[in-house]
Amino acid sequence: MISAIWTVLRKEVLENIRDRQIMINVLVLGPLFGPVLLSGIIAFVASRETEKAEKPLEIPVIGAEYAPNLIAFLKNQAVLVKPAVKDPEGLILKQTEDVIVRIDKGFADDWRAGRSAQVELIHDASRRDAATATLRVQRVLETYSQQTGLLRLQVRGIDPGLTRALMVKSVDLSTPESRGGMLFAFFPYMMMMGLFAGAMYLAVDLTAGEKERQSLEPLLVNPVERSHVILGKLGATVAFAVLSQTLMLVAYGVILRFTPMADAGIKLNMDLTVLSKLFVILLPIGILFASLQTLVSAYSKGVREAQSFLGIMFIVPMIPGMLQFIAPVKDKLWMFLIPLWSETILINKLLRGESPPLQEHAISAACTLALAGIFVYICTGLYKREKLLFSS
Amino acid sequence: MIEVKNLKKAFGKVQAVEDVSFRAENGKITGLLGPNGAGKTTALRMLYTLLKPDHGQVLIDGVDVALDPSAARRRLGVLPDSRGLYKRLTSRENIAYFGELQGLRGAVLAKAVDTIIEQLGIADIAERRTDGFSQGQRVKVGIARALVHQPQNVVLDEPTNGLDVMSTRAMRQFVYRLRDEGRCVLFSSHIMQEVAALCDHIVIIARGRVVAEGSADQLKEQAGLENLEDAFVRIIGTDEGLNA
Repeated sequence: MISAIWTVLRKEVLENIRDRQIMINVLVLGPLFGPVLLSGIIAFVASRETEKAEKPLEIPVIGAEYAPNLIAFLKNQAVLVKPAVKDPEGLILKQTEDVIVRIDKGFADDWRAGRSAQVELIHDASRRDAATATLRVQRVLETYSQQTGLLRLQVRGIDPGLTRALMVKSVDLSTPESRGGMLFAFFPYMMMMGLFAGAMYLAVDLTAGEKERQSLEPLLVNPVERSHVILGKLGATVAFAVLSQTLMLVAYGVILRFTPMADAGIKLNMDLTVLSKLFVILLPIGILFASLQTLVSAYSKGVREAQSFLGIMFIVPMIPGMLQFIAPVKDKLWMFLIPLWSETILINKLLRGESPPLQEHAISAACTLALAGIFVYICTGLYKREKLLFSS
Repeated sequence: MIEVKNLKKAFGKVQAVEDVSFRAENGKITGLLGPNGAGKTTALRMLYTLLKPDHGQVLIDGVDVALDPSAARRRLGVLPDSRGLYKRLTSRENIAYFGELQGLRGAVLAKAVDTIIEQLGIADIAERRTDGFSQGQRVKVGIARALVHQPQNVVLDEPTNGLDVMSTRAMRQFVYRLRDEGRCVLFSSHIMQEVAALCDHIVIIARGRVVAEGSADQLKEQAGLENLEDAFVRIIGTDEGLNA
């Protein structure tokens, strides 16, 4: 019996190694999609961060003549003061300027009287690209305000410390890895998507495709159990899925090495230890996806139907990652009973530089494999049905 | 030898096979003739264990297919209605795959593949991938992989469908050879001249039932007509779905 499964598996592997479209999916698109996209995003973020941090701020100031001291301070802080503009609100809305400072006419009078002098910061808080510039100007202005305030108190003989009832000191325990983990919260589903894409066409081709090519009937006339036929096909799909997964992890390891992560303010450890741990976490998922895809394709009337079903299911592996990204929850042990959700937590932990206990790994893998087992069981039942032959 | 007793099969409300019984002897070519949609393919599918009959029994060399389908399949070589080859495999690989599924291994398998390739005269296309093969080449490879284990019983479902004159002739020669080797050949067709010329025994199926059987002469006698075509039409009751 084992030998029939092995015969089918070997033939499917041989036949599909010769299929260019399938091999491109398994070897190139599946493995490279995630790493290239991720690396691109990081490089983009890094280049913008560098640009923002190093570029001198150029800010139009309206009413500069009312506050020459403030202007001098701004220039001191590497802010390039541009001449006044008309219609500042319009310029911000048109995104010509990131932020504009407007000094009130009564500034000088208020200043001399020791009242709070008004300075307007015109900006659009919904524009994320202007946020850095706005924050920087705001900080410079606040520094000026504080410095002047302190001097005023000292001049009047009052201890400036009195104005600070609390001294709040932040002790940040995040490591560069864990900050990277925050940005990489979508990492797990990128990996799962890669896995899903890698084996999908193969699963469809081996089942729905065989039905459409009319070679299923002659195949089943042979003295072989139908469950063995489907197990052989599943075995071939899993073999390609594992190959695809291995290449994907190698691609992550190599590509991220050449990505300027430090410039984007993150550090992500992707050494051989982490990669092999990722491999172990992802292995049950590859088997789960292969069995799900085989089940769906075996059930479908033909290749097109199978592909449209699986196209919708593409979203499923993304759900846990997205949920955990939008609404992070503290993980509990029972959560490791949920396939995909558990692996998402484990991958996140691993990338944050933690090493999850063996117990969590074991529960997660066992549950995912159990679900895959259920799919395989349904699948063998499906292959025993007479309708299998006539649905195309 | 193939024995079919009172087969019945319905798909939902459609009664595809009402009542089919016949016997195909060793050393004879038995023809299953009937218009398209008469239930030939469904009857054959029950015979070669792909469908479960609602009622009735099939014996292959005395083996009940319902009780031991694997043993029955080992005694059968089948060219089914759908006969897709694996396009990315060569003819030899296609044939060897089925040989392996029939339980052949190693040197025995290699020998069996060589033998059947020689028997069907397809040595020239043996190492080519089957993608782009002509209809005739495809049928030959289809038959070769079905018969790689040299079964006693051969079932060919409309083997000459889509073949040109030369391929049809070659097919007939091959079928004669199988008969002369003492095998049981069951041949289905909706082409009456072909069945009349080729078969020793003819079973006529219409609307899911066996309506007549015998040699070509017996059938003419039964219908009381000299012309075979007229005899068929009278027996079947209509000429719909038949080809001359």
